[in-house]
Amino acid sequence: MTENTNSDKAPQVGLFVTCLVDLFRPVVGFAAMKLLQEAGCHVSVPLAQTCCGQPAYNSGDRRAAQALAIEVIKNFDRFDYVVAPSGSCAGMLKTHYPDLLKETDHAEQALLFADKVFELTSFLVDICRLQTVDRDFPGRITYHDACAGLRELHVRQQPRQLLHSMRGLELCEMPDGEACCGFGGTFCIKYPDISDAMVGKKCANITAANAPTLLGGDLGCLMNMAGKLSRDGSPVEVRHVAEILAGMADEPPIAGESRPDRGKQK
Amino acid sequence: MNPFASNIRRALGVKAGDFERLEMVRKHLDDHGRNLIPACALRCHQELIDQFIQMLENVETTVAHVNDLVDVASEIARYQIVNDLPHVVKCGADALIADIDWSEQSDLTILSGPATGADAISLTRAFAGASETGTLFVASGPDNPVTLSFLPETNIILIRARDIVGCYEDAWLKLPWGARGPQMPRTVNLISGPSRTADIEQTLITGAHGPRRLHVIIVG
Amino acid sequence: MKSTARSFKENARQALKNQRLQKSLKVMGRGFVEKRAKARAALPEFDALCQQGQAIKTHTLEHLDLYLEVYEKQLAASGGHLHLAQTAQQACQQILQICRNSNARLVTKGKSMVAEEIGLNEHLEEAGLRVVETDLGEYIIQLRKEPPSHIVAPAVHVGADQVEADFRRVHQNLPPNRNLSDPAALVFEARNMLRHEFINADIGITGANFLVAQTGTSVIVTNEGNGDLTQSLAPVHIVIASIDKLVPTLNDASTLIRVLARSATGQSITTYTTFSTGPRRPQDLDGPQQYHVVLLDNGRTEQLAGDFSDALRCIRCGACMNHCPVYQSIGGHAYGWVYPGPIGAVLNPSFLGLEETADLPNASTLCGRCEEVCPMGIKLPDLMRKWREKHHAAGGPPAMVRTSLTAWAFVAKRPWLYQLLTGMMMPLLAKFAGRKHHFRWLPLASGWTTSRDLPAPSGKTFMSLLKKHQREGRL
Repeated sequence: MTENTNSDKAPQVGLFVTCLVDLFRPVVGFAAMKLLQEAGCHVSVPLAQTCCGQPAYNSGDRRAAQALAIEVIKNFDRFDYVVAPSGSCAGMLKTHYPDLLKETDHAEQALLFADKVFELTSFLVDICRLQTVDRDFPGRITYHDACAGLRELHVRQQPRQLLHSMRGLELCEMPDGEACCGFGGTFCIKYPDISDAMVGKKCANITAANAPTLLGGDLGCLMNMAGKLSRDGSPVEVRHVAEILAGMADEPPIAGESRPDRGKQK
Repeated sequence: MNPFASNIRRALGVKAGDFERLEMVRKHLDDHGRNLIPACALRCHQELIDQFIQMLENVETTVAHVNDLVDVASEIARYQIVNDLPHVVKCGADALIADIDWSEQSDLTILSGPATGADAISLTRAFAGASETGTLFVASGPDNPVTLSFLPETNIILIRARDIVGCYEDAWLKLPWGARGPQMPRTVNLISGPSRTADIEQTLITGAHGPRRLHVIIVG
Repeated sequence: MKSTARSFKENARQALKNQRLQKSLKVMGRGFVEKRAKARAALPEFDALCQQGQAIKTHTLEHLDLYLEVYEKQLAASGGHLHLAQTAQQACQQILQICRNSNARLVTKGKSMVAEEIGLNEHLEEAGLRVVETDLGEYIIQLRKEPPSHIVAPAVHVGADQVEADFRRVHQNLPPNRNLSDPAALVFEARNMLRHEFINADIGITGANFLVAQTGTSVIVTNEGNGDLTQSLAPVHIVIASIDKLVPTLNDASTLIRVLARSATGQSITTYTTFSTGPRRPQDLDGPQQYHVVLLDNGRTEQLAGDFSDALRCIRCGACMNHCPVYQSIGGHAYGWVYPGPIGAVLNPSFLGLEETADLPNASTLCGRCEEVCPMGIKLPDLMRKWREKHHAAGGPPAMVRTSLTAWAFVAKRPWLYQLLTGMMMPLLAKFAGRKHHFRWLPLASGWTTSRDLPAPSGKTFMSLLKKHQREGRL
């Protein structure tokens, strides 16, 4: 358990790091902490967290998913808010836990818990009332709306509002931006051919947006698209939106080496 | 006793004589209640007519608005000349159509009866028109043999301006009604344009199996 | 039709390699999506109408026994005949019997997915009848001996040049040098060919989009006029429809009609919406002398009581498949049975069993676009997930998958173990990847790395770094 205090009255936020951020790209977790603290939150990171249980839930292993869900609720129940830098994981906690646990003793708890779960950018805008981000990002970016955030949590305008407010940043929408990238958790492993066709189309649309940087709010989707872009030799750099918003884009982009001529933030 | 109904009751876990359920269904059927009517169907009559025409024109239909029944024959003759069509029309026994004065159109042949494959142009009468989508309601019967609406290459539909209503629900009210609802003829055809298909490479082609041309004449 | 759902993965692979199909899908994907969006935008009440439509369907299904009884009474009063078919086989036999009773030889057919579901054409053809599909798309695939690949646009996978070749092959009595180079010429030829069939047909079979209890009416929703010619020119009209098509009143049908075409093709209403009640009246000059309705259950009553009852609200608009990125990638045939796309992934396991169809509900990213556009508010991703749960509970997934899932869950439930293992593994992986920060190949990850690079971890895990920062007093 680690804590970082801003003020006593600050909302108590538990950061659900998500397993992919924990394992693959810790900078997103630290960027999320920074953004939440700047927005006036008291951020805690329960150390006993692993995964939200989605792989089990979507594979039909309800029992395993329930066990993990109960753990998550136990570890995060005491906060005012639970925030995750992922629409997919936040969607799991918020929209699926109540259904998943409805036949258990935790049914009511899951419903109450769901009310306080948020995806990072929507939490910053809708709850913390953050209007602008006082940072620079020189250049054009395009944005991928990951499915769960978009359709389960209606996250669309919030990251755009924050990005728009950054100095030098130009947002270029890609065609068919609401289409799935083909990640789908275990889907991309179980049906690699179909997944590849989907991410192939997505990458063509990303290229059509003509921006050197692709941002998004879900690491799974970003890894999928970054992996495809990298294999195709595309120069597009892929990052989580929190990295840009927090001014922490110094790490190499996902799946690629950093190029010194861009992506540096002041 | 309908065995499907008993199976369904078993599946739903309900009993046959459940008064509340019966009442619910009886009420739903007898109330003739309406669901939401789109605002575009709730305009004044002139706007409804304008919208009716607009919607039909959007779907490759030509529309003529004449003041009186005496103008219908000349409008049909005009339409046939403009489109280079044979000067013949087949129609049913509809009273409004029967009142058309053809005397000025001496070279126009009027045939009566159901359509055969040989008929090029039919004239039918819509008992109602729903403005919301530009939809003509045509009831089959001796007045309007149903084949007239589908076999000829060109279908001309006559409708009185006062029969143009806002929504489908109002159109249904133009049929004769019994205790439980309208007395349905064998078919009521809701027609919104000439036949069309997009089955080949999503290319929209007007004139599939039904009429290739639809001309609507509004009277009054 | 015989299911090939079991070989879904192979079907999908072939579909992805089929350049011609890919071209058709590309055109289709854009067309339907844009048209629906426009139609929705043009009607401010669209979403509210959808919600009312859902309520109508839910109310009807909850009182289906009673509405069925009302329908039966009204149908009889109008002079129609009702035939109840518990199974596909029974429905086929009943229809064949009606054909035999009128010594029929030629049957014309309007488009009907339920007819596909029961394999009607094969059944009638085996009994020596000639069956002619009259919907242009259905006519084309009948010539090609293919099943439909879409429930609204059955030949969406076929190119115009293929149609031309088929027409030249089959319409042998027409001049070989005729011009068939554009879709309009093809449509014109089909129109002329099918005219004779309509007029000479002994039986006309249509489906039904709705059955109206209030009036005992069946409703078809079409654009070509073929359904009307089918049911008006033959002396006998047979409607094949399933019990979920019932709606209480004409006003209820009107509400559903407002959302059906808009969801399906983006039209505000289809060219023809036809309400048929009974056979021709005594004074009528045309229309069928007999009107039969074959009402099919085929497992739907059982479905009504089970986990998948919401799917019975479906009005077969096809919006879910039009918007599905999986369908858009592989087309309808890969699903291997009558109903493709998300709704097929939910319906087909009920009809064919999970062993045959397990891939269908699994082959989805659960992206939720289908649910978003479904006018009947069917939570298709949830229903697909429910099938996955049943599949898992029945021990369906391969041992390898189950074992890895169990092992992962075991570790994930023990944060100390999880962090110990990942804390060691991630820096190692990062080191292996080196400066490129990705893998072109990794053991056990070939599903991913065949076509994509696998991004490498940054190095230490978030949890390791966090603890380190804490120790160093940086947080």
